[in-house]
Amino acid sequence: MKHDEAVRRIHMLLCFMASSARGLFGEPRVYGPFRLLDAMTRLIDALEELDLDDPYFHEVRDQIDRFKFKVMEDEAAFIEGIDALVKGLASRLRENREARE
Amino acid sequence: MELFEAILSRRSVRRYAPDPIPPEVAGRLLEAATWAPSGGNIQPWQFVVTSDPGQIEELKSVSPGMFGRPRLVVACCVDRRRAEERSGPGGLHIATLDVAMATQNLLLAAHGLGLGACAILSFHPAAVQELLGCPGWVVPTLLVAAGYPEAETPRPSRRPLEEVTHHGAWGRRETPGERGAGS
Ligand SMILES: Cc1cc2nc3c(=O)[nH]c(=O)nc-3n(C[C@H](O)[C@H](O)[C@H](O)COP(=O)(O)O)c2cc1C
Repeated sequence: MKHDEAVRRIHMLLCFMASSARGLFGEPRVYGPFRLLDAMTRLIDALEELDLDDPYFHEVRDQIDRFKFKVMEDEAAFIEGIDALVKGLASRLRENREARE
Repeated sequence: MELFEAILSRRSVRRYAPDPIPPEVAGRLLEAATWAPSGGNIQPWQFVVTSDPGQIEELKSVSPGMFGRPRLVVACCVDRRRAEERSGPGGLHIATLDVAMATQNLLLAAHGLGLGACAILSFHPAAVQELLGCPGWVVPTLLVAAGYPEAETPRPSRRPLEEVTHHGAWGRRETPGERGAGS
């Protein structure tokens, strides 16, 4: 059951990525980064529904949700949001590595 | 709500509360849609409505422009067969305009009924057709996602009136009255 649900969720995520790929041919360039961020939040949603999530992923999703719609209002703030996101993800990776060492 | 106030305060709402939309409220939205004007009163539209959460999730998966967890989705479709039968080869263009008008009615009605809604064009039409079982001649033109709004939606800017209005001729910025007053 769990396996079937996981397959269904991943299937839907693949649909999202494929239809995003198709749509981007006719959409503003800045929608590309936006779709990737949205794919991250949809992946985290899917993990949550499958009980495979981690509280840290929720923080990441909340962070993305706080700035992603800036894409339509303020491109510079949108880019700043992505920079902060990547930096945060990377320092978390480093912290996790250091904790394992 | 007063009409002009409704027009000014409508927003594209993308975050929805979990409360379901009662069927009679959904019915009012569709009624409003069908009272839109249409070229030659041909009404070349069809609306496919769903409030099934599983089906909405599937629609979201082929609609990158759909956000949050809408409680209702209406696919506003052009009935190509009706459009072409009644208006000939130009029918499709007129029908697309007609469906856009109907969609705006639906959005305003949603706002008037306390709902939040968003028109969505970023979706894969053939995939939506497939998921909703539409025949080939029924082409989804815009999706409307709706639900009770979760929070207040900020008001995006508008280009100033002076930038988009021309009085009597292209590039004439002042009204004839204003010109008279100045001379
Ligand atoms: C033809 C059309 C297509 C749109 N497509 C999308 C879409 O795919 N996703 C989305 O979130 N909003 C979509 N919108 C909503 C616009 O982004 C929104 O109307 C605009 O940002 C102005 O905001 P407002 O409606 O709150 O005034 C669309 C609007 C129109 C008219």
